[in-house]
Amino acid sequence: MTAYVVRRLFYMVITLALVSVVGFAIIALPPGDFLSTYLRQLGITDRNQLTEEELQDIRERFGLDKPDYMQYFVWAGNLLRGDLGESYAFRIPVAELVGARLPLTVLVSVLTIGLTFLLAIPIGIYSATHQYSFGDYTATVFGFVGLATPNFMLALLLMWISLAWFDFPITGLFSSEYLDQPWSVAKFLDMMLHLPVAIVVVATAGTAGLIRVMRGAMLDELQKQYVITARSKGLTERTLRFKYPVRIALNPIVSDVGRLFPEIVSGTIITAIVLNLPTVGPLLFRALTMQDMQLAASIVMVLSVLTIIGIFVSDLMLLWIDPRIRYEREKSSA
Amino acid sequence: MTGLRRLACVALAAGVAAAAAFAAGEGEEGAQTAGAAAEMMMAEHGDVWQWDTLADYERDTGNTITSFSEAPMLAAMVQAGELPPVAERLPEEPLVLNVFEGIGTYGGTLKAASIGTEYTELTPIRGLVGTIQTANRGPGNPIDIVPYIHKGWEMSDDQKTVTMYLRRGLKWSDGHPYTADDVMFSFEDWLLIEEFPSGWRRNGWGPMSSAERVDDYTVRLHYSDPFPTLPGWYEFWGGWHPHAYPKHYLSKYHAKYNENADALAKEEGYDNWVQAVWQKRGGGGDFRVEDVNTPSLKPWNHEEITTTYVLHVRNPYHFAIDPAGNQLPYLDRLRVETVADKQTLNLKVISGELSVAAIGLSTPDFPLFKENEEAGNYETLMWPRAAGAESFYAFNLNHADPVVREIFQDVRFRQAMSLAINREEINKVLFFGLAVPRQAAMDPENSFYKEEWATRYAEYDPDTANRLLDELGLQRGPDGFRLRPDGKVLDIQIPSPLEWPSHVAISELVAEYWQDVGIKTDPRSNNIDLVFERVGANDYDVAVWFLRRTNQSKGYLPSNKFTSSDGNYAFLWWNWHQSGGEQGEEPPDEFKEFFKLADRWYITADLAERDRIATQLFDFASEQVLLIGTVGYAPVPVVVSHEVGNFPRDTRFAGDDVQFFRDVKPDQWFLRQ
Repeated sequence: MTAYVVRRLFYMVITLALVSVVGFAIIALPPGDFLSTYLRQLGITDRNQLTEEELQDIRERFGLDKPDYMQYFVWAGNLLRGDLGESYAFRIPVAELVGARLPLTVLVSVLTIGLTFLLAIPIGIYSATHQYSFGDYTATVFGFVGLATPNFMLALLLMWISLAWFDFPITGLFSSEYLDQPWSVAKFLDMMLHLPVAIVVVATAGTAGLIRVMRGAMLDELQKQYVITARSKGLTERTLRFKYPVRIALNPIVSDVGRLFPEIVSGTIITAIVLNLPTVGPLLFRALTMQDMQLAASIVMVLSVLTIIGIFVSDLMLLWIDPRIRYEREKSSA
Repeated sequence: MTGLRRLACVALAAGVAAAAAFAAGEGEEGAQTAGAAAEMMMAEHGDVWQWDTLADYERDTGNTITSFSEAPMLAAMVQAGELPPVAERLPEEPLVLNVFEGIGTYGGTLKAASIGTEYTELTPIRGLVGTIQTANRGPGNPIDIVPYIHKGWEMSDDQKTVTMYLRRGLKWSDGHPYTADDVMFSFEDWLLIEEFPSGWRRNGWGPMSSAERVDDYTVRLHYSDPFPTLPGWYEFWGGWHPHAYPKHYLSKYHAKYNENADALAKEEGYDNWVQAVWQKRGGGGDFRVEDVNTPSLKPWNHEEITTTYVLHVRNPYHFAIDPAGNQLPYLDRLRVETVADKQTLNLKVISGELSVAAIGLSTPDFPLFKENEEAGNYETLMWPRAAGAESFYAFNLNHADPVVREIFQDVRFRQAMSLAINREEINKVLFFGLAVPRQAAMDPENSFYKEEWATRYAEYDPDTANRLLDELGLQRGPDGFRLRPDGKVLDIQIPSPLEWPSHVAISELVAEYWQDVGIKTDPRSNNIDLVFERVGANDYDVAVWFLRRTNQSKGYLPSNKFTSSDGNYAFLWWNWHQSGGEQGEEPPDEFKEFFKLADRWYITADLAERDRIATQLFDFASEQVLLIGTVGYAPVPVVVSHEVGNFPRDTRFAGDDVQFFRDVKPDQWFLRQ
């Protein structure tokens, strides 16, 4: 087991190194650099207004005068020392920027994921055990609609409905009057009014997908012979279901945990942009469009680390909940 | 002078009428009421924009101001002993701003929003400083340049010396006096030193040779060449003005005053002292202040910067008052929120969350804003963009392909392409008929204006266009597209920057018009960086951009798209001219003369001579059809809450140039209780 963990950790380091190179390269690929975006903001779109010499000065200030690979080594070197670099656009250390948005991001994400599981797993089980019933069809219809509706579309619809019918604009996590206020009970309550829409929107697609996965896996299991045997031996339907098929049907969901880890930090980017949530996702998006290299690359790196850890954790969890995998592993390492 | 005023007024009246039609369902009556209201406002307040000093105000009006009032927020600080009284904070010679509607009330936070981080730090106070500003109230008055921080300036007859008169007793936002020492520090110890980051000086500040301190409140700047365009420059670069380097604060970071300046800079995270000074003052000026403690002369200073919003708080030492003696600004704070998406911004607008909105709103959304006016408690205005062409098209006379180059260089081709464009239709389809169909040309108010520049080849005449193209020998191939002499299809790409939706929309229509006369055209929208990169590498057929800065004060700027070829009609020729023949390609004689003449324009002291040169320049540009225009003065939606007072209703939109809201004087906006 220890050897397995060590081996996995070794692979993780190599993967991360490769991810950092590829990630940085892709971010550096588009034409222009942060400087061109920056100058555009200043209204300097005319090449005449700045000479090459001046551009060079500004490039030096940002370290953009070095070739891309040098910029990579500077960034990667800092990263190894635990320094995520500084955002060009905000002139604030990346760690601070991300840190400021992290608590709300984690809050939204954890609630969303919680809601997804809370809805999807029971509905999936119900759908499978009551296959082709009215309830199953209803869940299926809602599931497919949820899956087929782009999240940002749903977000726009809910924002519009909320404004037009309830006169309650949802353009962020806070009402306008609380935005720049320090935390207070009123501000917290205000956030609690805004939070549900965000969570419902973000959770919809995930829930819909998960219902289908859960239902499919359950159906597979329910047809197996051990279920019939157990039933014929007189096990109550309830004990039977939850002790065996449900546990096995959870398998694909658990192996999906790896994907959830980065999502907790980044949130769902497009929806967060539309809903104007102060989460990390939109920050990453802005960084990419503005070619704010260090910010973008560092966020991508953080997400990669989380993905890799997430996959590792989900593998460990699978070992734990599924004796068959554990058995396979022990047999092969023996 | 009257030409454009009339046009713009018509456009505005039409806008108001359209607005009224939306609201009331009956166009004419509404338009009359709105028109009458605007007239009343004008009559009541007259044309006086500001009085440069209190003495001017008292002399002109016969009124006297004996005591000053201040915001309750500041009064409380005075009470607590944190601030000196208002009379001591104001300069002896304060600026008196006339109010648009009436005397305002103090307090409140103005709420604005910006898509992305681009403008959060800047809007709406970007460029609010500057020694000089434009008085831009009313569409007919876009070219008056008036003093702001300084009480005045004076050019010598040879246009080589400018004398700046400072306001006696003016103070920085930390209460320290602003005097000639600061101006001298800015020039002698900073802009004119060798270590100064290169040629911002050359670009922004002309051929300056020295600064001379006359007394505490007078400074002279000397230039090696006549610099008649100085006011235009100072106004244009207003927000980056170099006169506001606070000596008392920055000298400890300056090697001349502190031998350990480099060590101090390193301590604070900069590479060296030059960088520290540069960044503390925000690069070339005010636009990006890294050290929020650096004293400023702005009406508001940064209070809090987060990734979701930026908060500005009033400068207790602001130097302007209203005619009742109240220290401006009226607003305590400005909050600019960052939104990530345009739809979110729109939703914030229609739900009435914002006090003002303009940048980021698009013209096609006008009906949406109009429909929700009542529920959102705001008003939707349509301001004409201060741009002689919303999009212009410049064929690349230096095209890399010699066959194409020959076609593009034939003036008949450019005439045909211009005649093929249906400008009326563009106006109706994209701008509710509120823009002005015209050729790419300067503004009619300019002293050197000729009507024919705006009309030449600007009519829609596809028959003549076809005839000209036939004459050129561009025969139609089997699929109807015209062929080059070598038998290949003449295939044109218009690279429109995605970041500017109006270019993309206009280009789509223009491509259709050109296809109609047989020129295969592909309107391709691309990331703006890619567009610039292709143009910079001379890998393009036709360039598209705004023709902004077409009024007199800005027309002289060396960034003029006609004369500098910055419009990219002949990048290699321009390069040759600029590098003294070392780079690029040698232009034909007529273009050599043209570029030389333009250079002379900038340093000609005599106004009449300058206008004569300008006429020659723009005659040539017009005959050569260097820039093909579409529509000018396109309407831009500006949304303002009914809560906001003293917000001018009829002006031009310069919002995507350097000035943003500066020309409409946020100093005097207030929130109605």
